[in-house]
Amino acid sequence: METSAELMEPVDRRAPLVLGKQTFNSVTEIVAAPTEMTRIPTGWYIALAFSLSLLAVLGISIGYLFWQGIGIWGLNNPVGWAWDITNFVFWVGIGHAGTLISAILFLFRQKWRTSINRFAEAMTIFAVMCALIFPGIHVGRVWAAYWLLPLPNQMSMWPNFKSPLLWDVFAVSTYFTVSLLFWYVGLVPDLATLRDRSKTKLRRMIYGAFSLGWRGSNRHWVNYEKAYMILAGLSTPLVLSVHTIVSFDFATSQLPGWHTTIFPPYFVAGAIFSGFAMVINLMIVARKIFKLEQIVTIRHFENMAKIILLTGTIVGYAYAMEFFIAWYSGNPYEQFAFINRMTGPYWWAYWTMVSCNVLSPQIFWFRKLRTNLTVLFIVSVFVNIGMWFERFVIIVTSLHRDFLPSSWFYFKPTFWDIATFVGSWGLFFTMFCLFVRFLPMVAIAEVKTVMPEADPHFHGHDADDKHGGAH
Amino acid sequence: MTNLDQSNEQSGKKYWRSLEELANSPELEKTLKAEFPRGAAELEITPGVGRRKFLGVVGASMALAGVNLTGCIRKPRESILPYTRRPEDLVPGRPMYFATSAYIGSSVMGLLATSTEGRPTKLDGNPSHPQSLGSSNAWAQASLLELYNPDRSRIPAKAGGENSNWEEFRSFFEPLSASLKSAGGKGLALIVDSTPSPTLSFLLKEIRAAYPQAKLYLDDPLFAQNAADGLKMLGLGAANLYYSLDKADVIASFDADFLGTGENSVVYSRMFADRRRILTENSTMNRLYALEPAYTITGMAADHHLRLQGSQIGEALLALAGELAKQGLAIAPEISAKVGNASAALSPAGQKLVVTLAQDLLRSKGKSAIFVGPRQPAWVHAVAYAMNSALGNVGAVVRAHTSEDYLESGDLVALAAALKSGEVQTLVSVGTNPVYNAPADLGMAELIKGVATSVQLSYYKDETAKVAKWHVPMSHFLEAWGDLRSTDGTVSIQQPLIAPLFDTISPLEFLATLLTGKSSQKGAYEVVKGYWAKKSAGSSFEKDWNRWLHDGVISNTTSSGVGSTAPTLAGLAAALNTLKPALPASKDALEISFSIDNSVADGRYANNGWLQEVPDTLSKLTWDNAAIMSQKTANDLGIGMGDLIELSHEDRKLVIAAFVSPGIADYTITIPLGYGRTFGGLVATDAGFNANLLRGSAEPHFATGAKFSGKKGTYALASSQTHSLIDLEARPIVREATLEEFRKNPKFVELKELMPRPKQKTLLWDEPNPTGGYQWGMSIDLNSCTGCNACTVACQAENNIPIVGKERVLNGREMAWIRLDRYFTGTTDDPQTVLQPMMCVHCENAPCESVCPVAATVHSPEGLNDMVYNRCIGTRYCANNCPYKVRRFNFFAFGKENAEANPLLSMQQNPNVTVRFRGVMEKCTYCVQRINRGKIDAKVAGKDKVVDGAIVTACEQVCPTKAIVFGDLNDPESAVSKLKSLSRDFTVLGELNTQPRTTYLAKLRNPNPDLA
Repeated sequence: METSAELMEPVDRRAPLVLGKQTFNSVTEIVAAPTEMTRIPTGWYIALAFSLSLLAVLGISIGYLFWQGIGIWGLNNPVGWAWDITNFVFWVGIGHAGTLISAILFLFRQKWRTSINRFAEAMTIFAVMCALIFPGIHVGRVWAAYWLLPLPNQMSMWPNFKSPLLWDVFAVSTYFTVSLLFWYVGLVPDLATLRDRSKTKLRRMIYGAFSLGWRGSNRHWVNYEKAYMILAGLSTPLVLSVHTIVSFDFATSQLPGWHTTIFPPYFVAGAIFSGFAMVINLMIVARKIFKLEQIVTIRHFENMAKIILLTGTIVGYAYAMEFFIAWYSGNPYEQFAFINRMTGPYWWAYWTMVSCNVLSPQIFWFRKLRTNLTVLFIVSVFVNIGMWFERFVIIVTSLHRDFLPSSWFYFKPTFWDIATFVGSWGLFFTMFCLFVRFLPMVAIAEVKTVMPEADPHFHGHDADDKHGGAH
Repeated sequence: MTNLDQSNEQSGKKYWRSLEELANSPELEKTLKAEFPRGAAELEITPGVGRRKFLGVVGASMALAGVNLTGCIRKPRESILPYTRRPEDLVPGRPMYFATSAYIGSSVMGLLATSTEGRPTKLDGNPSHPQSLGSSNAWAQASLLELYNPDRSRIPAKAGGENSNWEEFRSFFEPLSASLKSAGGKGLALIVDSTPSPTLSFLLKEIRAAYPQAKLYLDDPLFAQNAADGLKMLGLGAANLYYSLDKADVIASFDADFLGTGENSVVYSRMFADRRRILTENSTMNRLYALEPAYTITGMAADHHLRLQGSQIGEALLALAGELAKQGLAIAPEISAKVGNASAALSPAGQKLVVTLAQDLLRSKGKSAIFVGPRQPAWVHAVAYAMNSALGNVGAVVRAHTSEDYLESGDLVALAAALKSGEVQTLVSVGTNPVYNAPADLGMAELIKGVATSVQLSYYKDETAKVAKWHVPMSHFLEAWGDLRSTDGTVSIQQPLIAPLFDTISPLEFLATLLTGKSSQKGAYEVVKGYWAKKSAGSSFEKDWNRWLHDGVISNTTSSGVGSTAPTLAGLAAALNTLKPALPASKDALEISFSIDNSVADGRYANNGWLQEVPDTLSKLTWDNAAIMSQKTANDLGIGMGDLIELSHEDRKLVIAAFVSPGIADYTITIPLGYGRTFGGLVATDAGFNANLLRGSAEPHFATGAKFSGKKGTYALASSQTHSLIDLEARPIVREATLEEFRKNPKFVELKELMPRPKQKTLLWDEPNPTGGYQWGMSIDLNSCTGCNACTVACQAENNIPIVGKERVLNGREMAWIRLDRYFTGTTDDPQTVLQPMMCVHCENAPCESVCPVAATVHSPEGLNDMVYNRCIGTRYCANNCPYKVRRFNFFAFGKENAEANPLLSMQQNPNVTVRFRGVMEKCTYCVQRINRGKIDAKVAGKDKVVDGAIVTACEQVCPTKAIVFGDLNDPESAVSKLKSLSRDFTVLGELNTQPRTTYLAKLRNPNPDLA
């Protein structure tokens, strides 16, 4: 990364958040370009076709599941949950980075978030969509799944409010709603920009409808900033609560390996960990394809790598602490559960998890490595693999051998377990393909606020801020 | 479904139903009305039509369901046909009970059948029958399913399985009888099984009189021929031994599985367990020594177990005789002369066991029993009797019962010889399957194929039906009249509960036809009743008969047997003189021990899904047998679990899957019989491996000098429980002590708690506040439980539990609500076992209840953990959070699949229990339908409370050892409350504070201190 004096931010003397001689106009041009292409690159079609075929796999898998029953998965008597809930927790976890970036970093005035927050929020929403599939389809009688909702009925039959699964329903749906709103509110000024740049009537109408009559007046901006701040405030506790509540599914049960008070912080750290890894993976690709190098800089990646290092270490600490407590508790079942994780039939899953989650991020102690995109990409893939395995280890290895040895049984995934998971990636990628094609993947208005030109103290060079877009 | 009554169209056959019409006697009419399900009587018009209409009623709803299901409507629409005129005494939904009896395995069992709207839906032991005492076993439970087996044979068939009809069969069979009669029965060979029926025996005697040159052969692998021969050798005539085990302090089992597959196992289990009920520190307990090649149910219950090659058991008994003589017992010189150096063949541990066993037996003269298994040669039985006699046990514990029904018969070897010599022109097999049962070297299939005329009566179209010239379908015992005499002489009437579902006939009717040459003359009802009318001298026969039918037992037939008879030992001495020492099993000369399977017996229950799926007590194998061997044998031969191995003996070979298990004698490979059926119904076919292919007629039980000749790949064995040896100190799931330890510290179970008991109950929230008047609970005595599986199958029958098949067992999806957990303790070679029935324990603080998001599993005010199937959406969270892992999930529409595979199944199913659909969780309900019935009955009778014992769960009812007791915990006088107040009472996983309603009584062992 360049660190020479002239490439420093003139005001806070850090690496600049936007590189090159960018103007407000050029930022708009860069971001709007993918949505305004007249000739859509073949690559996009290929990507969409690939994603849609994966989505079809999901559709077929779910269809077959509904037709046949849960038995098409590899679940058995002790192992009542396996890939279904693993995937659910995995996807919910992925979603965390988006809200963290958009809400918490916003409240902490972390300016570097502006280049990546839109992207990360989109990822959140798509990941939560993927996540929501699994609790929906994993129930045995899917046609009655709506009984999870507290719907008034003639029997006065309410759900069981003591059940963490019900808390999940509330937590995840709230999270999804607030994330969607937050994302949409942030999109409004940019949608107005696209509306204003539209050359066809259809574009004008669609972007016009979604930009809610935004004209960029001062009053609009004042209201917008307030709304954004309030939503950020609402989202912030959700970042912590969603995965805390997801972890309650396990922590409130009595199963050795699940029944652990460390789970809420451990899960939240893990979620942020995997979320950032996913943002890095997606961003590296999108940045390259859509030539966003000037806006999404190495500094962004470095910051994310630092968060991965931090959360990865927290997760590693949690793993160690689980073992310590198992030993310290003197509970033979607890002790067995953890020894069994390391040395039992699923030892490979456990060691995959440890090497991916604890060991691989440690290379980010070195600046050279955390600013190398290839290394970043590979480690992020490892982190995602590791985090998927973390959920698998927690769910499956705890269930497959618990209290009474007579009930122990080994879980093996079936074709349909794998197909459903692979298919959920199809949904995720399809949504992403549509997102990068039709929506501004960087928050144009927000990026402009962190450019030197937006600083009232900026007198450094001849800024041409007349073409400030919607600003 | 439409074929259910296909045969009715073709035949105008009139069997037992027509008898009453022919006789048209008002008494008979009345009797019938009293005995038969009213529903059936109401529908009765003419014989065939009655059945057709009956099936029509049941079938209509099934057909409707079928149409709709194929149209993918989730909830089948069903039509209810109400009674326009309700038959008298019939309350819809109210079952009726009828006494009957059956020959189950090799035991006569008095049964009480539940009849729901005319359909038998459950079989249980008849409390008035001394051989069942209200209990039964897994075979008896599952024999009900046989009635509704869709594979059962429905119409006569000609050679090659070509369907025929009764008309054609009669035109062949009736003249046959006449022509045989004119020839004096020359060339007729009759094969029967060992059913001990007075009427059957009477008929056979008549046949023998009518066809003096006919030969009778016996084909029944479960029949203890060697035991009978042993007694004959001693000059005791045709006798059978009956052991009053409740009078025995010391029992020595020499390869006798008297608690499992053996004769009279139900009553023996009860007597055995009665002597192990430890209520106080002063209670005494019997001591069981078992010497056997592989763990049987009896061996697992033993206090001392010696793994011993099967062919050396006799030598061990001789060694014991020698030791007894050495210790001063007067042993007949004929035996003691032959003792020689018999104990040299035993291991040091075995020698020590023999010495201490001898001491123990001498201490308990007249209060002990030496029990020899049916696989041992006749001389071993004779020696054992002589020793029992010398010990003063004969008359006190062991009594010989002679039977007037006895008939001289040949065995399969004799039959094969006769067939080979060509002297048999007409072969008639009554309910047997010699082609499958016969050891391979006899070549029975080819021999029977070569007979000019062969007729087989059997329940399924089996291997013999395939080669016989004629096959005739047999009735189920619930469809036919008969009578049975148990070992102790008690005679019970086999009373039908239902008209034959298909056009089938019973063995009695078949033999009557053979005798008279006329099908419609002698029906079984008249034969049986006529026989007993003749026997009964009194004028009050009709009254007596009705009482016998009601009680299920013919009064005053139970005999006490023959007291001490001095045996004549000449025959035995001759047998001992020619005795050759057994070839010691080694790596290159393996011994194959052929055993009766705990589930399918000799193959007669192979086509029964309940029994195929119930896990074997030792191996926990379902749907298969295997070559079971010790770890040492496997290591030395380089065999691993699940390897397909080829075993050869003489010129016979068998490829079979290997299963390594603790408690098996080294270099001895046990192969259960009854599997590998090639033709015998959908369920039976291709399950497991046919041990008979390796069996030779010279050594039918223990084949010595067998060889392992290589591996042939691997095979997936569906075992429901893995073999991990568990540190039971770290996991106090089962608790046990020796009797001595218990006496020293009656509260020993508390020492094993992971958390002190007062601390266990610390609650973060409010104490559970049970408000119901009754508080149900259960106590299971691990000291009594033998692991016989009866509870598992009874539960299946009572609660409409589907079977899932081998593939799904391999995937861990068994549905049985009762899991019989088997744990080993001690060394891998000679471990001890503990068996623990595990089903929903109905926790007071149920972990499943709090996690269900839709409140589908909730607590009843009476302490039941209720499962609301309608509300369940199947998140499986409850099962994940259940520490006992006793919840079962319907991964597929198992119930529907079962009903589709067997359209008759819905006739068996209990109408008071919901058939669960796909995607819902299920588990033990404490038989909530029985609880509610009991409460309603008490209320109707105007009682304040249900009397203790009036409500019994299905598992409690069937349990031969009465290990399971259910009742009201609010009543301090109830049996269950009293058991729970014993010091041995413990809670599984008590430290989780789930406060289960089912608690266990710790197991006690009574080892000989000298062997410690």
